[in-house]
Order: sequence, then C-alpha cells, then structure tokens
Amino acid sequence: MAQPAGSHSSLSVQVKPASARDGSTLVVEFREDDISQVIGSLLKGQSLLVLGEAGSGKSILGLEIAKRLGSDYQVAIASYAGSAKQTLIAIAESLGVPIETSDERPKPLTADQLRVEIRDDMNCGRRLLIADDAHRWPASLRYWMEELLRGKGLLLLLADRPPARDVFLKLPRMELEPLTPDEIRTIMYAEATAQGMAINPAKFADLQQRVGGNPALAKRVVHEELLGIGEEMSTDHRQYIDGTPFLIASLSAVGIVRFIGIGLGDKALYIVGGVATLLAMTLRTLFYSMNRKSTRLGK
Amino acid sequence: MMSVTHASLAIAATAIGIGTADPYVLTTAAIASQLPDIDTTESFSGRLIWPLTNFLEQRFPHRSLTHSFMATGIVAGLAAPLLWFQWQFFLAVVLGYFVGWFADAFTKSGVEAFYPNPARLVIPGNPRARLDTRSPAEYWVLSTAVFLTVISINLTSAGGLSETVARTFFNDAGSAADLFHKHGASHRVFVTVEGIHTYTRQSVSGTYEVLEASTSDLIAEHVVTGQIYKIGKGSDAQIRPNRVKVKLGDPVSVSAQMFNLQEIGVMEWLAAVPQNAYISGSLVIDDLDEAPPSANLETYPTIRLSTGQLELQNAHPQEILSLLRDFWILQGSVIVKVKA
Repeated sequence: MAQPAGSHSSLSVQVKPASARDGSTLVVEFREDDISQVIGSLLKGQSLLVLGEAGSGKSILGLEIAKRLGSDYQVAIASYAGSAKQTLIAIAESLGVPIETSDERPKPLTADQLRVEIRDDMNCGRRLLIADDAHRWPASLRYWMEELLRGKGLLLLLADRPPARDVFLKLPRMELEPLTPDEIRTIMYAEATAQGMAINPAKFADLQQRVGGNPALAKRVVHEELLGIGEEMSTDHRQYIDGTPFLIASLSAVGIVRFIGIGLGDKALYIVGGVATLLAMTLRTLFYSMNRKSTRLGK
Repeated sequence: MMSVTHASLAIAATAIGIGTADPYVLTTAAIASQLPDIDTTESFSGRLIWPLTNFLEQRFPHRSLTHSFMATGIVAGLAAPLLWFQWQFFLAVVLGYFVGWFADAFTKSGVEAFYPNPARLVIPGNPRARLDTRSPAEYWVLSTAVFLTVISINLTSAGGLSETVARTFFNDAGSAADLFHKHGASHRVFVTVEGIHTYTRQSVSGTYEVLEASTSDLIAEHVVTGQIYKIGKGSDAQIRPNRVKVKLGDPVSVSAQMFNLQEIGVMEWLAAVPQNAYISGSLVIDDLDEAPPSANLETYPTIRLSTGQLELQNAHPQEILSLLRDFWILQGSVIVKVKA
C-alpha cells in the first residue's frame, strides 16, 4: 500500500505491510540528508515545520525520526482523524501521560484536562510531538500547539500546503524537495520487483511522467500498471508549470505586426496584423475558460 | 502525440514561420520534429538510434531531457553549420525540433521544457482540457495543421499573406503598381481593369499587361490589341479604373539596352532592333516639322513631339516605322527593352 502511515490512525507505532517496506526504506535512504537536518535541528531544541506534497514521504520521515530519537526522547506521533480528543488521547498514551484521573474512582480526563496534562509533561523536556498531516488539525489543536511552543515543547509538524497563519508561520520551515528521476526510477523498479513483475524500460520511462518526484505516486503507478487500471495519463503530482500565460503573451505580441503596418503605411499588413490580434484575443478567452482545473477525481 | 501530428505541425510552423514552400526545407522540418522522441523505443526515431535511446530510456522519464529548451539550444548549435549552406534549412531544423516537443506541452503528460528543472510545462493548466494521444481532438489538430500548410504554401507561391490580402481587398491601380514594383523584374504582371475611358466615355473592361508603373498609375498594353494605355487617376490617364485586379503571370526576364544614336536613318536603325521591343527615349530628327501627328488619340501617346525632339515611351518598332519611315535621326538616346 502506498498510503503514508499514520494518515488514518493516530497510533504512534505502525507495522507496515511487507510489500511497502522496500519502497519506504528507499525513501528513507533518499531522504537521509533531510532526516539528519531535521534531527540536528530537533537536538538543538528547535521545533520545525516540514512541508511536502501528499506522498512525498513526510510520514515516512516522521516515523524514521521517531525511531532514531526514540531512545533519547519520549516521542509521540499523531495525526488528526476527526476527533481532537482521540488525538489528544493518542498523544498522551505515547508520552506516558495518564488519561484518567488518579483518584480512587478513575474517570477519563476531558479534552481540556488532557491539553493541560500533555503541556505540563512536554515542559519537562526530552519530549517530542510529531504532528503528521498538521494542515488537517483543527484550530483548537493548532492554538494548543502554539501554547506548547511558548513553553519548552519540541514539535515537528509535517504538513502539505498549510495555511500561512498561527503555528505554521511561527516555525522555521523546510521543504521536502522532489526526488530525482534516478531515485524515482529505483523506487519504481523496487516496487515492480517486489510485486514479481518485469516492466521494460520504455514502460518505466512512460510511467515516470506521471510521477514527478513523488515516491508514493511512483508506487501507485506501478501498481496501476500491474493491475491494468487507472488513467492512462494521470496528472497528480505537483511539478507542473502552466504555460498558458506565456503562450497568450506571445500570441498577443502578434499585435506588433499591426502597428508596423500602420507605421509603414502598409494597408495589407495592417489588416493581417489586426486579424491576427483579434484571433489571439479569441484564443486567450478560450484558454482562460479552459484553464479552470477541477480538483475532483474521476471523469 | 502521434509522430504524424508532430510532423504536420512542424511543417505548418515552418511553412508559415519562414514563408517557404520548398519541399526539401519542409521535409527537413518534418524529420527534425521526430528527433525529440528519441527518448523512447516506442517511436520510430527511437528504434533507429537504439543505443542512445536505450541510454536515455534507462535514466530519464519520457519527454524530459530531449523535450527542453536546453536540447533545442544544443540542436541549434549542432545545426549551425547549415547557416553557411542555406539558412532556411537551419531554421527548419530548429523550428521542427522545437515544435516537435512543444506540441507535447498540450498533452496530458506535459514536457520538462526547463530541464534540468524537472517541472513539466503544460498548456492549458487544466489536464481535462489537454490532448490525449489518438483522441478526436488530436485528429482535429492534425487536420488543422495540414489545412494551414496547404493555405500557407498556396499563399507563399502567390507572394505571401499580406500581398494576397492587398490583391484581394485593394483593387486599385496603386496596389497593382506596388506589385509591379516588387515582381516586375522577374514576372509578367497582368491587370484586369473595369472602368471608363476618359476621352471617349466608353466603358472599358479588359486585361492588360503592365509595362511601367508610377506610384498610382500604370502604363499597360492590352493583351489582345497590343494598344497601350495609361491607367490610373492621373490627369493624363486614358482609362480611369473602378476596379483593378492584378495577377502575376509567367516568369520573364527583361533585357534593357541603351543606345546612343548619331546620324542614322530610322529604317536602318530599326532593322537591328527586335520586333517585340519597347523603345523609350528621345530622338532629334531632321525636318521635325514634317513629322505626322500620332495616329491614335485614344491610346497612350508612345510617340510625342516636344520642344524640338521626339519623346518615345514604350513605343513599338512598328509604330515608329509607320510614322517615321523615311526620317533621318540626327542624334538620340534610347533604351530598348526586350522580354525574353
């Protein structure tokens, strides 16, 4: 499965399916520089925001960091799955914070109480909270994280295009760069091998167009190819540049011809240039209206 | 995109871009348009240069390295020696290669135009509005490209787009004069004139071959009768046109020769001049007072009397002979034009 771990569960430790292990180890290998940079920063006590598109390996990076710092730090990895309280409980469990009152008739702590407990615990030091898919976290939890930061809390936020406000603005941020074509090819190859299928280089080169530098997509397109499903040319990665404005600009430059025609007193050139200008304007309207991209999947 | 679409787009772009109809240049562009696809063994050009293709295919995604401005620059560099041969071929190679990959920006996959930056250039940004290979939309693009090529080649053969517009929409003596100035040296230029004769007030409709042109007036010879008229808005024009349609005729080469005449009989001189010549210049002849007036009032006066000498303008040898058979030329200088 190519889904990032933790996106559908708030548990800190997850056993990944065997088939994905190859891919994930490769991603860790290819993201080694990023990982050591993050760890270096965390060891200095500096919280961090890591940005990357969906499938770029943020969650894998989070898991790896948790693994490496696990011996020295109490680490909690959490993601938000619809309930702030569930998230808080998961964090508390990972940090070893009690989730029940400590009197003789234990009652579960309320969300507010959990917030306070966790904050107090984080302020003791040697605690790390990794917030996966932090862009999904509700405002209440984000404000609470700001509060953690004001104390001695150490945070690692993993997010995909979060809004430019509150906690996201306050943390130093690092962007996960797309993997290189070579690295992507290695992941695709490993994935195909793990599935016991042989794909020829021409097919790899063709599939790789749909991947960009996104390791999760690398795995997905291989699976789609093996299953014989999926769009022939999906466009899900983010490494696209829309060239429409350039094209329209250069078309509009045809209008120059009209003015040359006027200047030289060449009536014919004036007419041709004028017609070309209007054609360019028509095309511009068409391109503008065509350019509204749907964010929905499917036809 | 299919390779035939690439080829036809490249041909259309080259035909329009450099205004050529040369089949060799257009073929060069079509071949160059296949080069970007050497990065996949699925293409014909890829199978042709197999070792290189294999190398690229193992390392790069399709439509990356070879579909970029950088690669176009390299191709331009490699093709630069063609500039010393014929610049059209250089442009055909560069334009063909560029169009060959740029067209793929309109497909779903896009192209890594700014390689080594891996971002893919796409037009338009909406993937649903981009082309699928072998989709009906691609066949539309293909047929539009073929259509544009045909039009462009036709226009180029007829002197280019703006000239065709001028000839279609501005039916006056001025645009005929412009065309004559442009092509008169190499082609015969014909005008079909509808108008009125200034002296006789008869309607005129006929085809004339242009012999000379000022800014807005033409001196032209009727193709059937061989009579010469001045057509235009000048006060001395015989035909005032309402509509002048101009077209280029067969290629022609005009040779002109200058003669200085001294003490020679008209008959003796004309014996050496070809029958289809046009003679312009001035002659001083003996007994000028006895020279008969020009025979035809309603045509352009090719032979005129002025202050002691005869002025000739595009006069035929026969005309001169019929008027001045027995006269003696004291001196004169003339230009004899002969169409070959």
